[in-house]
Amino acid sequence: MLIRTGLSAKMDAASLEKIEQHWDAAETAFRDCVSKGYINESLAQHVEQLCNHGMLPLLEVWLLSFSEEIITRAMKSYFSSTRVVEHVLPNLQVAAKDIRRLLEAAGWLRKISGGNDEPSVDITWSCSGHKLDIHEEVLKLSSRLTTFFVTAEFDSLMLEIFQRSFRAFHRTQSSDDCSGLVFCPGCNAEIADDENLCSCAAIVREFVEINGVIDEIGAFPSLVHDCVQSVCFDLIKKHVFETCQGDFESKCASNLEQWLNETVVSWLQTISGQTTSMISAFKNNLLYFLHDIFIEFRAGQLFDMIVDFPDSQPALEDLRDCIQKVRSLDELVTKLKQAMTTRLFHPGVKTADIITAYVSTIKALRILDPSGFILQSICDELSVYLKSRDNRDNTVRIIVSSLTDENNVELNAELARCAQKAPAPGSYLDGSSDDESDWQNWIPQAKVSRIIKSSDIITLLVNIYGSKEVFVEEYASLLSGRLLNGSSDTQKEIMYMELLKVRFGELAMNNCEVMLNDVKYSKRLHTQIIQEKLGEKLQVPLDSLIISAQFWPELKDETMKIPESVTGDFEKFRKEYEILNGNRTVNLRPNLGYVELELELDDGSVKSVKCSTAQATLIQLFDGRNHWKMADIANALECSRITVKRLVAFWTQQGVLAEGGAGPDGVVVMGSDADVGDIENARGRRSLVDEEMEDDDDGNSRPNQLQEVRYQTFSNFVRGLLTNLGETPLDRIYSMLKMFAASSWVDFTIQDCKQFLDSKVKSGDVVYSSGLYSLPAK
Amino acid sequence: MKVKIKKWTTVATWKWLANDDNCGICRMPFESCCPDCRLPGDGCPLVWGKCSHCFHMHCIVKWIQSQQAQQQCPMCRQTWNFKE
Repeated sequence: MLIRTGLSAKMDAASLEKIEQHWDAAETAFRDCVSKGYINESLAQHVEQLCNHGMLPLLEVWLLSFSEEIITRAMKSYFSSTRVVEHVLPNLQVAAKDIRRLLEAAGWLRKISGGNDEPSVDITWSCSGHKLDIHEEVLKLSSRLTTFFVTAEFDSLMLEIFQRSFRAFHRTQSSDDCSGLVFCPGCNAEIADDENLCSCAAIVREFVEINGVIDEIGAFPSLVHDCVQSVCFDLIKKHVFETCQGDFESKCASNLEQWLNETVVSWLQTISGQTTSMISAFKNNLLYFLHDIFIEFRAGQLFDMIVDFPDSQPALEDLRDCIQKVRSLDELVTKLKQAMTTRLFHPGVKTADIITAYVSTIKALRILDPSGFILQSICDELSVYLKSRDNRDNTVRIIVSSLTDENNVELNAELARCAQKAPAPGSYLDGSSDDESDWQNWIPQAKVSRIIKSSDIITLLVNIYGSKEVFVEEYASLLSGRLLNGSSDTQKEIMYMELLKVRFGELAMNNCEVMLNDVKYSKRLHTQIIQEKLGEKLQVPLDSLIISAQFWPELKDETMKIPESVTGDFEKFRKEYEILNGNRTVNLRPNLGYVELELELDDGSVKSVKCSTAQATLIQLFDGRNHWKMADIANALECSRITVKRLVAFWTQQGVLAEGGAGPDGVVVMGSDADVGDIENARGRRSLVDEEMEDDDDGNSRPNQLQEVRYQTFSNFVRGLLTNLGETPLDRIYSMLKMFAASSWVDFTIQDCKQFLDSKVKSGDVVYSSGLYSLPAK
Repeated sequence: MKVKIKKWTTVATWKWLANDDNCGICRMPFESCCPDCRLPGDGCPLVWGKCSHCFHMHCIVKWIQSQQAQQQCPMCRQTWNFKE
């Protein structure tokens, strides 16, 4: 019909009929060719005739629709009949037969038409210059139809074949001796008795054959691609998991790549010699996947790598190289955050460990990701955690103490290192530093704050709190503690202070400088007064630390009795001091300072102890008297019984005194005649007391003390403010207090303010009603 | 038991013997230093006037230099003379 309508305009009935005959003959010939497998001699003539009439395009269209019919039939029956692995190849051969013949016919047609592809008759719809590669088209059709008809069931069959053949392939390739094995690792056949039973080679042969056929009928991409992919991916995954477990001290990405080339790619080349272009594209795919898997795998271990840093440096560099090749960092960040949350951010972890982890994180992530993107996201999280008071109130103290702790090599070295190249102000200024001549290689920078990118570790640590003042304050209090217990080495302290000065500026460190100056000056006084003037006149070997109270952190002020010999000697010292420094005097702080003692026990043993003045005063009582009652001690020292108990606890811990030795309220010297057993009992109690002591000594109480001092000054101010202003809302009070507090309390927040006011409301100093604070009516 | 003190380190705070706590000019405690100084005590000493008022030396010197006509004590307006 089509032919008639197409040609009737220009042809007479006779020639039309002739063409129709040619067409029918050609059609039959093609059908025969597919069903019987040979090409009729006369076909060429018919086709030539048709071509002469410009019918080639029509013929091609017909052939394509015919092919569709054939292939659909073949594939449908193939997929529905193939249910087990063993049938894959035989059935495929059958199905491929038709398709192969079809392709032959198409190839033939291409050849025939190749000679007279210029249509001599001008027909409107035979596009001039149109040239169809009919063979190619049939192949494509076959490929598409296969994709369309392939079933999930068949896919899994293919997958099985691939896996099996991969094992077998490796069995045949490898040189491992498997004579001792019962089953062949490649094909699972029982080879204990006869190695020839191994069917690896046969499997590989069959496999190659299958691939050959599949490739021939153009179905390779649709049938095999997915299988190859999933087999390879599984393999890679398994291999990565096996080889990269827990070893951070060597690079393994290059090994993995090598493995991929040697094993997987060579296998791929075997399975199909022809489709090499596809394989090479596929190889890139696999390489990408390898990196992807590797990163995913490492992402889970990143936290361990950070903990192991710097031992894990090779692994980090490895990972970095992979990341650069492959993809974005989101997953790494997420996984690392997860790991941090589960392993770091819980109360069971010591703050010091978190700080150490933080430092390692900074260092490790700097290697991993020079852009600083990961570091930024992780640091934000970490610093929020460290900053929150509920979680960690001792962060600053720990950071400061580890900075100046010789045992903490890392931070200590960091401090010294940074001092050598202190960040010049303005060196971080952004922008124009880019070298413009290199604009072609410019890459956009990740959006990362400059602090993260360019600062050293200490700056980052300090920035957790956003201000150096908090830090310096903390350092000052640590320093004062060390100087007052005599547990410091002045030379070293001076060195640290100089280092910190470089970092925080002279002004910020002024208080500390004065403190150290006091120590230096006290040493001079020691020579001038105690050694040169007083000398023999003293009852006890006295030393004195004269401090400038204004510059030291708040010092505990307790009245306490210390031995009269000491106070007497100090009086002598004071007189000399007043002579030496006109118009100045010194006030003794009896509770501060430290004492070095030598205890000679009754059994003749000698014990050297360094203790606080209170502890020394207490033990002095036992000089020549082995037994005291708690109440009497309290009387003698003019202090409370709780204090006595605490002091005694120190000496029981030293093994000098024992509690409860003689009577319930007694304290005896260990090993003395007054000590009548009961010591075990006392020991048991001791541990309890220790804990209490620790609680007490712990710096945790310190911020609260600080708070109290601040509140004291605030409350005066607030009273004045409320007297002047009457009823005042919270934010107004806050803004005024903030100005007032700026110097002493840097991070004063509105919450702090509210808390403070609430405490005042509770104590009745302030009245709160309908959002306004006022003074209570008198 | 015998207790022998090998060394007793006392801690004491030093203080100016003055009839006030703060310098009347800079309002800082005497034991602290004037705004221009860093180190207290010998670094920033006190001076007494004949009127018995005392100030940080740096503070009163600055004050006197800024006075045009007569040099008066900022506290009592008497003519300022350093106490010998």
